[in-house]
Amino acid sequence: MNISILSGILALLIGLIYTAMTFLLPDAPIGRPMEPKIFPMTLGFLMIILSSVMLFQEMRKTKKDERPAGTFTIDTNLKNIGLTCLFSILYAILFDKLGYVISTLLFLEGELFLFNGAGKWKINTVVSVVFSLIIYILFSKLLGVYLPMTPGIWI
Amino acid sequence: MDSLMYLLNGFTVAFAPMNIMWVTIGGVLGTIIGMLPGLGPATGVAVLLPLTFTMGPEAALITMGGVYYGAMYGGSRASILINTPGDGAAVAATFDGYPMTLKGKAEAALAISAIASFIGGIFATLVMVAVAMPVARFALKFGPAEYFLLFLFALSATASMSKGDRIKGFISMVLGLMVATIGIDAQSGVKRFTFGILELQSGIDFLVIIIAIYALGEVFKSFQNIAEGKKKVQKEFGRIWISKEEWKRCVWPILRSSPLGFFIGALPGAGGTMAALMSYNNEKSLSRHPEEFGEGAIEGVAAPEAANNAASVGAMIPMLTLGIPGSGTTAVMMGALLMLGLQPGPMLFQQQSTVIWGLIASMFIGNIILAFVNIPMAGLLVRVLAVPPKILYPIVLGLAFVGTYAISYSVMDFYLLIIFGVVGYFLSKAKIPATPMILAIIVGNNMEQSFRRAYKISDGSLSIFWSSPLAIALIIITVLSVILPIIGDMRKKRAAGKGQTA
Amino acid sequence: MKKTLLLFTALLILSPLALTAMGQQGDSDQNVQYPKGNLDFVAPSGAGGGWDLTIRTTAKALKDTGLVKVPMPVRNNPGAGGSVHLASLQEKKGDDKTITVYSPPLILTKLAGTTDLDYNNVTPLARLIADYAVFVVKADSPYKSINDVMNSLKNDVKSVKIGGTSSAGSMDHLQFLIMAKAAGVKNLRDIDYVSFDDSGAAQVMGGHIDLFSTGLSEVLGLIQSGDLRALAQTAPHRVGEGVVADIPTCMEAGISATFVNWRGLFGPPEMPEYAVNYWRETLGKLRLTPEWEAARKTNGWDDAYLDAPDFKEFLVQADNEFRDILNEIGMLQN
Repeated sequence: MNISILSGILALLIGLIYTAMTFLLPDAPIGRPMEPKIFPMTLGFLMIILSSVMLFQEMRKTKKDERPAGTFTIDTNLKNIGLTCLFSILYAILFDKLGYVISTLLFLEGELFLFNGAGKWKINTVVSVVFSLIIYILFSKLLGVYLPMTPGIWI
Repeated sequence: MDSLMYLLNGFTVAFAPMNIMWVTIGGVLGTIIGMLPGLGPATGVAVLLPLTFTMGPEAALITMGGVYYGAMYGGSRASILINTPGDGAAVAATFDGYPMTLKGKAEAALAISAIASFIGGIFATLVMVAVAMPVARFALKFGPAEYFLLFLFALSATASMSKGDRIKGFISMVLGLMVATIGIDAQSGVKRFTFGILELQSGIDFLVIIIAIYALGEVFKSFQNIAEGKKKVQKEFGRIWISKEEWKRCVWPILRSSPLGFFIGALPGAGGTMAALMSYNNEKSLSRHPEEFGEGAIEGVAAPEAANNAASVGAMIPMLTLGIPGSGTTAVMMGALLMLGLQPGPMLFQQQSTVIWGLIASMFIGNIILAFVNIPMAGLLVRVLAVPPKILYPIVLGLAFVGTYAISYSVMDFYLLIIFGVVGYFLSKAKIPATPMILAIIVGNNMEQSFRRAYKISDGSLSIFWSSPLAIALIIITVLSVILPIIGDMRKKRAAGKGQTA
Repeated sequence: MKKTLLLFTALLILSPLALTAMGQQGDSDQNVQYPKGNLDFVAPSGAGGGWDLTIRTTAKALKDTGLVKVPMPVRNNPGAGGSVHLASLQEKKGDDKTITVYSPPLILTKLAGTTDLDYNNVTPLARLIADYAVFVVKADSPYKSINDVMNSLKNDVKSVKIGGTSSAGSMDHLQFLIMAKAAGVKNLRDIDYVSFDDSGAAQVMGGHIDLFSTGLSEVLGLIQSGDLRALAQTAPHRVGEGVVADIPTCMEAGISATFVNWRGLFGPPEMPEYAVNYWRETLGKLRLTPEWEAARKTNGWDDAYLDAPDFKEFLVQADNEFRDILNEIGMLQN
């Protein structure tokens, strides 16, 4: 599917869902009851109109020239992005529990594995250890910006 | 002239060897803090605050001033080199700074950023000496109606000038405005789109979204670029300086952006981000080759850099003269002043003239020192580009996450970072410009709230929006900002049409 | 390749278990000496706000007076008017190291429906200081006293536009409504309250709003310079020196109500008794030191010390007062 059409459909969906949600917003207890809803409703309608126009334009364009410009395929690129998101979610889950240094070390190890490959695990490990320690010391010890500590260890 | 006398006195304070040392140390520390994503001038000043407790009030203020300008200088380093803005005011530096880096012109981008910052800072300080009080009084004329129109102008200008498809620019803007409606509505106390999540009640911090779209978006794109071998390591580095040709292109943009930035900065609540983005728009619309903007036009780096440094000086005006902090950084600085036993307000210049004029004089000295310090520092920093992308990008990711944590101390924002990183990647694939969305997220809430404030104050009469000369002027430039690009397009089309028939 | 991935996930899953096991070793001998190791001072807001300033000043005074000898690093845990931190405190039941600061929003966030937690879900240690509300107008405003404002509101409830820095239903709004109610203004719900970010003082100076409801320390400079006229403040007595001492209280104007923007220290829920006792005693001592008095003076804070039991009683009372007002304007949620 053409990505412009896909994004038009997505934008239209966002517009529809958002508009529906604005109707569910509670009334304002003070002042005019509708007041907090008017702006969001306007936005919702605007989005529906704009995305419809865009869809219409794109459909006409694709009919004119039938080349499949910028098709959306699932390749290694998308797989890597998906894995990065997965690692990031794990990172978020473990961040407070493991403390900054350990969780960051694991996260970077994972990312470097994606980018740099498992074969270079020595470099990967050095980079992750050095990065997480330097950042921890810089933020937490020198700048006083709190980063979660690893329970039970001094850092 | 009174101010000049005071200023000379101030220089004797600022030129004390100890104070020169403090402003240098403050400036270097500030530059380093400013470079780290998520840490901007506000955090910089807050973090170094305890250090200043032991100093006298002059030295303390001068050091903090150094940290402030240093962070403003440093903010754009990461924008230019790794597409990760350190704070809001540095967003605009990614638009053309990073494309310059991709073209192997990082040295020139870093140099012009320091030069433009320097000129913007010095210009704003000079103006401040002359007109601090009148500017502060004039800024009071901005009521809710005028603020609404100002935000509306900034938005419509950005959206209508966005690259490529205008419809896509407006979709991006509306998307940003939708994000900005998340959180408690201050005028009524109603919670909107918070889904029962506590962290969403105070809204989504625009810095998180900026880091997501630029840093994470860049990492996502890099997978493909690395696989296709497009990403090359820069091995040779030139001098951090610019050519005569480049300088010629930048002079006027810098000179135009400095006063604009200064004034926007002096408006409480508008700030450096707005100043940088507005000056960028401004230059793009004035430029003879607007198509180069976003592809590595050097004036696209110079203009916002001059504007945001001028804004950082301008922002001191309402704080010092009225005791009204217009930004996070000036709020922290005001807290520091109070701790030092100084009460910011109209009386400050009379009661504490030595301290205040010492501070103003140190702005001159600080800017000069920072310009000197930053050029060699940039020479070291540019070597980041020698790191192979396979290692650099994981590090950018690591910095993006720690920066996000430093903004809110909340892991909840990590999820937002991931979501908006994906959104950013998708937007770039679909060729939807991200800038209108970002500006909309920054000003959206304020724009709606200003409208509602004005509406409430006027008891529901819309005439408040054109009842002052200032408001009318703002309406006129807003209308022009939408119409002019359209007329320009039509002219181009007609010219192209003629060319074909002839 | 798959193997490395597997190993990575396994490591991720196993490591918290190992670490919690390590963490538990140090916890058994805590009764011997308190405080021991780093304390954890938290401001439930970002850097630069009132809570941040209070807890940093307190930590500094405790250190300078030598009352507490262990390190007291301060961190920020902002979000949702302090409710984010309140929620994270619930995971620290029985902890003795975390000290945090709160003020009236601790009560208000629950009443506004932001959170289900309030002062009952933390351990009050002591009320320390107070700032008071002040109502200011532009220097050339026709309103010369707080009663002028109230009379005008009684005639036409839309005639005075009230501005404040917090959102509707929170402190700046309610502190004015409490006074308006006591002055006999009806239809409290119809009074127009306009919420600003941080530029409210500029808005009243520019004549965009009629009256600005704020904290006394926020507009001190502008009152001293004569740019703003303070109509009344909400303390039970006159406060400060110079022009500040000239500001009449609402009581003097015949409005029999007070509003105290108190700030106090709290521990996590179910804080162990030895820790509570330690802090009650230490803060009671701190309050009498010259260092603390000097810090109060520079920040313009009034001494509002209450020991834990009295503090708790006070919180219940304040809670009821807010409930009444919010109920009256239809904003009570919880």
